[in-house]
Amino acid sequence: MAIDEAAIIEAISNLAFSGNEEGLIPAFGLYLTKHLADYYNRISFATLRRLERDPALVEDGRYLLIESGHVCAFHTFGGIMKSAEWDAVVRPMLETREDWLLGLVAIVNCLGWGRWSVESLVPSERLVVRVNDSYEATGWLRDYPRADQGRCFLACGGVAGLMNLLYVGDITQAPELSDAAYRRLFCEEDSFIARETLCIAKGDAVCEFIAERASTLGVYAE
Amino acid sequence: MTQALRFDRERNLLLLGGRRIVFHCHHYNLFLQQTVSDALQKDAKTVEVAASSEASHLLLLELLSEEERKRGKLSFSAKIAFAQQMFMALGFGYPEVAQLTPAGGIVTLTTSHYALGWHLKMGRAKTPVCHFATGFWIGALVAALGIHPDRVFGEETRCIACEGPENPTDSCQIELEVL
Repeated sequence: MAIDEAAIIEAISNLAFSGNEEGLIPAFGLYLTKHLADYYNRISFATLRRLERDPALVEDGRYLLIESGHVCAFHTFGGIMKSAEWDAVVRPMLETREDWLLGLVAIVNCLGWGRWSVESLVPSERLVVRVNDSYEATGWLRDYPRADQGRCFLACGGVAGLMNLLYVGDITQAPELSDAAYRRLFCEEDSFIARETLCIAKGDAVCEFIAERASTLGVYAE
Repeated sequence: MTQALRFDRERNLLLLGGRRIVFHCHHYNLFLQQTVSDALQKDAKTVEVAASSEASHLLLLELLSEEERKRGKLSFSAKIAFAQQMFMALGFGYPEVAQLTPAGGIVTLTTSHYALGWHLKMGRAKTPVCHFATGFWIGALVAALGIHPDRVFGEETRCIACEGPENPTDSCQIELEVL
């Protein structure tokens, strides 16, 4: 592969994103924050735990938080892959469609989310990503009892988002990132959805996500 | 302050005062806030302010004690100025803190990440949306004064996200009271 992850991390981390004179961080066509992981974890897990009091709402809680991950992937990953920073740093390395995914994973590895690595990628069919030091899983394990299910909802939505941007929405053609495009990418039978198959929060050594098409799994990504 | 942010390139960890920092954009921040609001209804704001106060307070306690090890004992205003720089460097907006005293007071946000993001993504808000900022400044007062978190009340009384013809405002206002 043409992607030089170390070079991308070096280039992006040297951009040293920090608040401007207005205390804002405009980048990639977005407003970024360098946020407190403990804040995200507390509000997400409080929401999950509240909904899990009612067995009928357990899956709703997971779905809502994974949906937030879809939104993050669509706008953040999509915005990055349409940005001037992408054109300057990553685009010169792109040779194949799959390089787009590997280039984006390299940038994710500058975001403080833990180390993402692509274990396997079957183009347009299946993606397996492993994450060391996921902030969601380590945060859960620090503050709550060992989980019986995965707790990395943002990452789960993000992994599905990588595949949807590349193989459903064809981000290589710089589509508009509109509400309609979001629905097309994430809410159709050919959309990818991800499952967390390993999670540090339930005692595994690493977190692992597998994204496949909803139609393959026999479910609809409503 | 930004020099204190350390990037572990091998593990992709951003650490500030030993705590994890993660990049996220306004789309995720506002969608997650709306998600929590939909799920928790009337309790959402309380949960978000408390979560922010807890996280900010613990982070600032660590950073301020590091600063005091380097610079000697800091005054109240120096601690609040440190919190102000941190708030800006992390991308949450521009806070005017001149009206903040050890008894409480007012923090005015002339820019706010959450209010701006809400306006861009959701339009006009019915109620103030800067729950994270409210909790942050509660946490900052708690850390600066070394008091129990329950002794500080905070409320956003004006928010740019609610701005409209009958509600003109160019800033967010957070009122703080030390009990």
